[in-house]
Amino acid sequence: MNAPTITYRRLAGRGLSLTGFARLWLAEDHLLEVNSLLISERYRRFFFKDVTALVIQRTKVRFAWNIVHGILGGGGALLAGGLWWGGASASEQELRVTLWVLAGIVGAGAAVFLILLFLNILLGPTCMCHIQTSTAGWHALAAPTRLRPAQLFLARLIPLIEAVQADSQPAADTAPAPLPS
Amino acid sequence: MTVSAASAPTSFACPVCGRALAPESLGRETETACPGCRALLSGSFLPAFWSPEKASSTMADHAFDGDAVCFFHPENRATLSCDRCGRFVCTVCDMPLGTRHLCPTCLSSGLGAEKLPELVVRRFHWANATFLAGLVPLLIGLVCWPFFIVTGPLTIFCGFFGWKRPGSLPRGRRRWLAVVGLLLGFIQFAIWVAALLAVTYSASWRNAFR
Repeated sequence: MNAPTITYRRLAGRGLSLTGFARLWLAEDHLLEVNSLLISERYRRFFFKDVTALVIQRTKVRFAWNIVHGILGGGGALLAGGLWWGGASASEQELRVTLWVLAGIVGAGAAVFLILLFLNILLGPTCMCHIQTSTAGWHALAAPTRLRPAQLFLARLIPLIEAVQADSQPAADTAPAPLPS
Repeated sequence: MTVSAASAPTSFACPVCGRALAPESLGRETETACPGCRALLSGSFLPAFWSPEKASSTMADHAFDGDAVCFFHPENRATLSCDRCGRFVCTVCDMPLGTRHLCPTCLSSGLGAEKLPELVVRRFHWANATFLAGLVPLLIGLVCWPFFIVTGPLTIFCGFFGWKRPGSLPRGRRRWLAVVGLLLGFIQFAIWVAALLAVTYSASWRNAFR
């Protein structure tokens, strides 16, 4: 008998962990966490009938990245401005061009960090999703890592889990019928 | 055989610090700070939390005359049939796998050759490996062209060896990546051959004109 094929639908949100990139996929009766590292993938399944709780924990990762990007972007912009001003006030032509070129390079780097800062603010607060199962306890999901996708993730998943758990009441009449005598 | 029903839990462990919290304190819309770790939590408990399943017993019901019996334990009453082979199984032999119920034989046969997709825990991406082995050496540049004699055939090997191997569980085989990788592998091989010919002929021409 052939193995049944499982159709997966990709869920919003992705994460980055020490073990690679993470994504969540939705099957009919379980959630699949995929950690991929270019040429290999590791899977972890959470069957809906086992899930007892879903919790979102707000984290300060965005704040930390904002500080890093802000310092590098702002500091770089100040440095680029200083170099530009130094170049404008330099008397020698060669020194002026050198300082302006340096100001351009540092300014481009600072612009990249400022764009990253802007994107980080735009993407919203960061979070970590935890899933609890009756068999394995709490597990921190590697994705989604932003609050808005996480809330969408919960809104999509909870009705599915509730439907499965409502259907999976242990039925006494699932026993095979007696054999005909 | 049944075991006494489990009562609804009165607390849950904070997922961050493990401190016991009241389930009523957690809401989907509002965030609650854990008194232990100050983590802001929001979420939802599901029906399985409030009414945990009764602990299943390892004891099976004894079969009486006329009852369907377990394929593996003829003395036990069958409670289910295997979703794969259809054999009747008792509660001892029932191997639940998601929403499916399998018998021990089907489960063990599915473990061996990755026949059951629910049991796959790791997959190697031959298509991705082919693509990367084809692309990366070309991206590094033509300075490393002597290594194309290794990376080119390696790419071609990965492409053909993994052609029929199962790919990613959710994404599938993605053979287009393998095709592109194979193409790049042949390009590497062709570059190596061309460079070798160029070196050989330039040396022979130099000798001829001397």
